[in-house]
Amino acid sequence: MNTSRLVLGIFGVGIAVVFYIDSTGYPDQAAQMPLIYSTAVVLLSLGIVAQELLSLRRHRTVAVESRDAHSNDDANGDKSEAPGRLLAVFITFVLAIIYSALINYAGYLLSTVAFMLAALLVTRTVSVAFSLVGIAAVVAVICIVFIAFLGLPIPLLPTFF
Amino acid sequence: MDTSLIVVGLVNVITLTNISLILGGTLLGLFVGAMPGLSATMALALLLPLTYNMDPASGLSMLAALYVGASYGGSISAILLRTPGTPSAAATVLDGYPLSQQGQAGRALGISLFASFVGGLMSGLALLTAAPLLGVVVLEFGPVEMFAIAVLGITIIGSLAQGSMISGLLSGALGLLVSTVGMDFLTGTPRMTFGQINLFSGIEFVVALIGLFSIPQALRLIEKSNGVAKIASKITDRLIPSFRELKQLMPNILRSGCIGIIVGVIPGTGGDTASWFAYNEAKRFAKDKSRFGKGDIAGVAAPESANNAVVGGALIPTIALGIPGSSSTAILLGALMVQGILPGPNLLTDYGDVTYTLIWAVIFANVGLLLVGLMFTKACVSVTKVPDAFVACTIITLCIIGSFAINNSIFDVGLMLGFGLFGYWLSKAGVSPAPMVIGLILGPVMENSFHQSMLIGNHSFAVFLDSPIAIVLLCIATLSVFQATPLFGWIKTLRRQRSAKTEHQKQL
Repeated sequence: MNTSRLVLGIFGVGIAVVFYIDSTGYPDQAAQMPLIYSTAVVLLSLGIVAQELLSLRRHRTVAVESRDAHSNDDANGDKSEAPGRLLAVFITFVLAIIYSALINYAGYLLSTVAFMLAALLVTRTVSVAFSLVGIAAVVAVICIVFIAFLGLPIPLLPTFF
Repeated sequence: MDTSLIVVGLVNVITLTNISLILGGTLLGLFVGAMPGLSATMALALLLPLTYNMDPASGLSMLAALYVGASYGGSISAILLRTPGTPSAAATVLDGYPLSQQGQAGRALGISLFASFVGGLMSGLALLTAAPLLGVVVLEFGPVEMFAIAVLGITIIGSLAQGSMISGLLSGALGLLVSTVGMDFLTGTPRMTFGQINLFSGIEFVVALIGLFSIPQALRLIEKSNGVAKIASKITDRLIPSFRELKQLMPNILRSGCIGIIVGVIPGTGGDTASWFAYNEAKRFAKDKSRFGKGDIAGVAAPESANNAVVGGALIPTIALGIPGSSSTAILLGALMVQGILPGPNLLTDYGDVTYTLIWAVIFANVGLLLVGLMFTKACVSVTKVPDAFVACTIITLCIIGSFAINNSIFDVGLMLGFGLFGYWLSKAGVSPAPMVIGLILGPVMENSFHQSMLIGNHSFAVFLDSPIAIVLLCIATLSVFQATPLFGWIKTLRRQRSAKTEHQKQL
């Protein structure tokens, strides 16, 4: 059974219910399509939940019949990864959130360098020398393309300077 | 067919700026496609914000060139690293890698390049010919037919997406639901904004696109990064194939090109489907099938011709009907929307100059591919060795700056990261994000055409039964939805049991 799919199905039902309830307060014309789409999402989400529960039942039946000690996750996406790599993914994502929040205060240059260094340290699969040269190259290209060429109004340096 | 628009499109493309952008876009696409783990769709999503400040012709030319370049670029790591650079190069691994092991990497890459060029050129010319013909047909399309086409687009893309059909349809339905966020254009009611003023104008399509395609890709690269250096085969032989070899392979290349065009026209199918289909057909028509999988050059030519031919094929429904044929063409459609050009059958009439510019850009991009490919294929080998974790961090950085560039708003960055996290969850659940992106594009089209149809039909649903075209399209859509339910399986089982019973009775 794919736990992510099961939880996605439940989440789909939840989000559709929220949209449905919110839509009942709108004028008829504004509410029409959100109501239709919410209903479709609920039905399809329930379908996914049912699919996963049926597959769990089938797995248990097969496991009992063949006395199979292994329980493999479903092939569709939920491969069990080493917890260490999932932790690296989670930390990198959190770093990305902090990075985007910091841009307006610490400036683009400082926050980008800090983010990339921190993320590469977390993953620990890239040498320090490569990281430094690579980061310099990436920041230079982004500055040339987005700031110089596109004229993006983003603070390069910390705002407290 | 309005030949003046065709000429205007050609004139728009053959300027120094646009030719440079085409060559640059092709080169960038080549590098992106060559890097395993990156896709043309992701690269297009990241580059889209760059096109805001360009005029439509230039922006579209660059994006089309990147798409074309990435379609070939995937074969470089497929042949040298045994890892397809893009999903559409998966079939190329089967014979491409064995050829590189036999010291014929240059031969494989050269044939891949020429096959890609021929397949892509065929599809560009097909697009130039077919789109205006379809444009005449779609003049018969009113709001009722447009609604039916949008419903069909969502159901077909949902049912053909990777993973189970129900997953694809859920992804599409979620996209449609999210597309309703923002001010309703009819009544001015803010919907699902939860008091957040930044949501009054709805969810920016590009923000969702970057989040759904690029962030999950970056997170997956971090997940599988292991510090082991990638070892690519060396290119020791010549890249340019002999005329005799090309002539021998030409029937295979032309057939695979046709397969790519036809597969591309079907919404929801893309380069990966076309390349496998073409590979199987090449094997079927081969005199000596035993060589396939061990280094038969026809096994490289077929998928590469097909996956580049998909580009033009997928643009046919995109341009003629405003229904994206694949996630990459959804981004090209997004590029048009960013320039204020709304998708629909009027692309060929009201915005004919921009549309024909895109078509000519695809043709010129394939010519550019040949030149750029011959010069830079060997240089791409070094690109394939960049560590996954570094690529991932670069993608995240580009995503953040790219989404900020849309409206200079940190809210968009936050929204992008939210979609990114959701997209990662979808990938864990085995659900494709492509139908969701297409739902985001088609949602407003469906809603507008639905309301217009209701006005025409005096608020009666019977208006959808007044149009034969709409009836046919809605029936096909209903059938594709029913395929996702167990009902179809039960009916098939019942029929099989009945025919087995009848056979048994006949024997008795």
